[in-house]
Amino acid sequence: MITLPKQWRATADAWAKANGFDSAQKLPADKLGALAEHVAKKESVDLSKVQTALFATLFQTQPAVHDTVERTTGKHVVVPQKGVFGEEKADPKALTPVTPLQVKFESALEEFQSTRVVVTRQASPEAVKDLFEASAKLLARVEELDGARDGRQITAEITKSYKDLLSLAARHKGIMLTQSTPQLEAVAKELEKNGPSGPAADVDKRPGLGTGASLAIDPNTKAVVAYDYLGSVESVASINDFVARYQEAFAADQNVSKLEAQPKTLAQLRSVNDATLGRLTSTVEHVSLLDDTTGFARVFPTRWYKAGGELVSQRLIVDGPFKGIYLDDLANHLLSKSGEGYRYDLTTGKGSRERANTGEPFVTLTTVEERGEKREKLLVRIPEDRGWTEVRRQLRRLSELQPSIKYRQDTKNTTFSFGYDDYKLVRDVIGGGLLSEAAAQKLDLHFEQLTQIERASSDAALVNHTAKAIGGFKTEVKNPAGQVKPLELSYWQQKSLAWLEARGYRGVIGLGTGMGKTLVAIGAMQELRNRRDVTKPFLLVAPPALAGNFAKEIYKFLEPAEAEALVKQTVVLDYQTFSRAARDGKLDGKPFKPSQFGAVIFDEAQTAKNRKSVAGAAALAFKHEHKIVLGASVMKNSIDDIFTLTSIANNIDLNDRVEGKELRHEMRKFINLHTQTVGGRTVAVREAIELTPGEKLDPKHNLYTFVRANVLFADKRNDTTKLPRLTTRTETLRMTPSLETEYRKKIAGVTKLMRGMVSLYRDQGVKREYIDEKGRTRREIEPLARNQNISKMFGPQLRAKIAEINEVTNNPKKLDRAAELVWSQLELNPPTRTVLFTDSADYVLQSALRMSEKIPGKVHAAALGKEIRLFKDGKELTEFDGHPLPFKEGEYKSAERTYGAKDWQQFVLAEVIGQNTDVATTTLFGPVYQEGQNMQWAQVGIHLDRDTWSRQNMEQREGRIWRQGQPKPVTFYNLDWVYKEPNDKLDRSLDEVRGLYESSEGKLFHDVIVVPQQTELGSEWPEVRDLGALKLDVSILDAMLQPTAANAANRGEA
Amino acid sequence: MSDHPKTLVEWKSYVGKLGPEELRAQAMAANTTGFVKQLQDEGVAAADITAILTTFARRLSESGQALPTDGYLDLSKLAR
Repeated sequence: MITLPKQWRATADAWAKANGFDSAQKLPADKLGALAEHVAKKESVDLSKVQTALFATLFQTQPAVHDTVERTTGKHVVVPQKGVFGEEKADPKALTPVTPLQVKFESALEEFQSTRVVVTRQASPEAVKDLFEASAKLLARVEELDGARDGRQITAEITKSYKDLLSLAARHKGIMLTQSTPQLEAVAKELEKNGPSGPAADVDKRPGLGTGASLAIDPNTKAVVAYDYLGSVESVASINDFVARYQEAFAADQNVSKLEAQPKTLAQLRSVNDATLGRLTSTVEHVSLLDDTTGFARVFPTRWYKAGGELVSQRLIVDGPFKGIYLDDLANHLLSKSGEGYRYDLTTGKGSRERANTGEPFVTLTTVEERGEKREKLLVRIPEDRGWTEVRRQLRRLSELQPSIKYRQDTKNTTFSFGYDDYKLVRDVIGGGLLSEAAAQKLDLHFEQLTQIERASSDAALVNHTAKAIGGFKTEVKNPAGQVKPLELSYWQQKSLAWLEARGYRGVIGLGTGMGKTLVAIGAMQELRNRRDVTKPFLLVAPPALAGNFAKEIYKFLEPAEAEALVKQTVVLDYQTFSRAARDGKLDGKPFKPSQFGAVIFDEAQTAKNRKSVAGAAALAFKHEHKIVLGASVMKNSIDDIFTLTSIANNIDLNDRVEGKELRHEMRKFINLHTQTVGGRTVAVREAIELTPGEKLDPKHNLYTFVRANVLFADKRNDTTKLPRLTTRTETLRMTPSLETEYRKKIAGVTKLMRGMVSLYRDQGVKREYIDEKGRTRREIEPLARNQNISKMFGPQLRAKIAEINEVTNNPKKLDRAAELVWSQLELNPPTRTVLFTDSADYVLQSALRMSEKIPGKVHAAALGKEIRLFKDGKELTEFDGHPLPFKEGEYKSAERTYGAKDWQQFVLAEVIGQNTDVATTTLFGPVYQEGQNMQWAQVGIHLDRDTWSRQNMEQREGRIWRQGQPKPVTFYNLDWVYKEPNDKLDRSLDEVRGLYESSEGKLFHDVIVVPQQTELGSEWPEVRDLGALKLDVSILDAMLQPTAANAANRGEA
Repeated sequence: MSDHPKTLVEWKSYVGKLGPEELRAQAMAANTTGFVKQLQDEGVAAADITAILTTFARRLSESGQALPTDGYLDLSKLAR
């Protein structure tokens, strides 16, 4: 008999009559779907409500069994499959209770074999056990009787046993016998084929909503199978397994009843009122609790809902006693109240299973809809009581700083969702807490994936990335000196390739100057060709000089046939051409799209560091699965650089019209959380953040994990096995009164800016630090440090001014000091050779001449862009070693080779000066010689001045002599003019300001890029792999939303 | 003979009068940064310092002795 609320009966009957039936009561099960739709539409009610009401009636169609069941169970709780309403193809019919009829032997056997025992939540474990044993006995007896002669005896016995079984079922609360239908069998087979599915499975594909389970005995194999129509097919090892699971459910039933009777608690959990619920129009989806690992969870009607002020949508229960409650809130609440969780000590790496108590935070899984995509996150709820007020405030504050930790609006700071990467930060605030099994398993998986990157790029894995292992490489190659040496990839080149492979050939690699990025690019392309069968062209984007040279490099390192093949498979563009082609979608009239390429490599990617630049914007928008970003300098003076480069590699378009704003907002927050900025300038990595007075949190691990997971960095300092030590020193020169007077006149227009920079780069802009009346640490910021015009010091506007200041300080006294330093090195070791750098062409000549006056008998070179001149004993030489002077652009020959006109400087430096120990000093014009020329014959370097602000430029200079092939330790000096007595603590010379900036930039680089390289990914989750299997008591929720007959009556629907 | 030559002429005369062993010992002592610095401090011009060292180198070469190549300057080159 169909039961519907009185107000709908008339509508239902009218529809039944219109479709050829006397009344709604006469409708077969397969018409109920259409009926429900009609009633919902006509009565303007939610379809799921009607469906729920109709579900409850389907077991009351057979009077005999109905009576039996009703009498013994009181309420039955099986919910038929979703497919009952005809929505799905293979939808099984409702379970049809069997009538105890007399049967013949053959059909008795068949009927018995197709009987399904339906075990509901109300069944006790003992009942299930009894029933199963009785079933097994019956089957065994049937088999024994097979072939017996007396048909009547067999029939009688089988029928009696069958009736006994039925009685047994009827005696026990919550157990029913039903006859299987073909459709039910089809579903059962499908479930068996697809295997068990848990909360991670796609709920939309599940065949049913039911929470009943069916025990069956496979007639062929005799295997016991338990079918859960929710989708979990459990080929249980034994009835004891099945019983054990039901024991939990049975015990939980007690708690269910208690919770159902706590309207106040339900009201507290409720986030959305009925009026808002009524306005929702998105599709209703029935889903289970995400945290259910047993597969027995209740399903709930939900809709995606985004509250005002939220950035993400969450599943909201829209019907039943839990309507208005977010699904994950409910899961978290119930799991924490009655389930067990996992607590672990991260310092010892030991975990233990504990009973969750009501008094602590609990972490569960949730799914949110963010930017159109469903994402799995973690959810934490902090208890509301007073004892947790501070924690709630701190977590709220943290969510304001870290955008990926999202506060659930209007939950009184109790509820937050966050990504796996934020786990440590959150855990540090909440001080531990418990996790549900599902959350623990997901975190385990997440960190397992992180550590996989570690393992895949560990030293043990490098054997897969040698030249031989990759294939196609030559065995020998000629070095710049013309010597033939065996070819092998260096440690860091192999490491880079291993790291790239672990990340799917996507990521940012920062290798210092001279460490062989080109070979990494070639190696990566070879690996993709040979191991991933990539046949599409590779796109290499590089600055013009490198772009023109790339084919030559391929031929240099690969066997001829391989080289030819790779060159044909590579498209090389400079950044300008790439940007234009990417923007237009065309190159030379032909289509230009990411999908045309097998991989995209950006070399010297600092060109694209700025997302607003044409190159940066093009690189960000060019989305591809394999994007490799190579550079010597991955971060100059701002974390923005790193973010942009990793965004390029990870296909996150920071300029995207739709998502770009939100992405940049999150990026900004992340940067602000992890670095100290003043007036928009990043000055240091934060050591700690103060969430509430006195409570500090160290966010660095979060930053390190981000950098480590996305950036591989190494410079020559890492390659300590091969290079001797580099020492850098600053020598100060005190200004004489007359020099100081002249100097201060020159800096008059930029004094304030310089003072601001001292504060910024030495003191991080802090004027003073103090504790306020509330116990909070406060900082007073130096106003000068906020001066926006400071940025002009780095740009073209003040370049001329800075050059004027340098002219005052580039004087003979500085050269005399330089000569003293050269002398001190000569005294230690007479053959010592020194290179000096200056950004002033005039000063190059002054320097060489002065050196020749101060260091007699030796030759001193002045290397300018267009000529190289030599001096000795205060006079310029006209001839040296058979060469007329000065050296100029032209062809030169050495014993081994001819140098073309473009290589004339290389000839002079390598073949003449380099080979002649009489040349004690070589002063070089920085802009020309700080890149490209190698001078490992020198051991000492002096920066006479530096016009640029970049530490990278200094490193480029140092890289001329401190590089592969340098056999001796190297010392580099900075010469800084300083005031004899500064007026106050911000009063510093420009040289000192530069030094502070470089130091700050260097420290920032070190803290952001270098230190994280030591971080072990996933290191905060060491013991996850030791987690044992846990069962969570989920079925608390089951009966609560069960559309039981009794419940239906309570709602006035029956 | 002046024991403390100051001018180039005086140095030439001084070096010319040294016996073979003394010549070698003093040539090696002169070919050091310490000696060169001392001359510098006395105000001797760079070219003159080189000339003094060249005098030692040539005298050694004329005396048939092998010229040391280590030291502040390569005396064998200076002697050419």
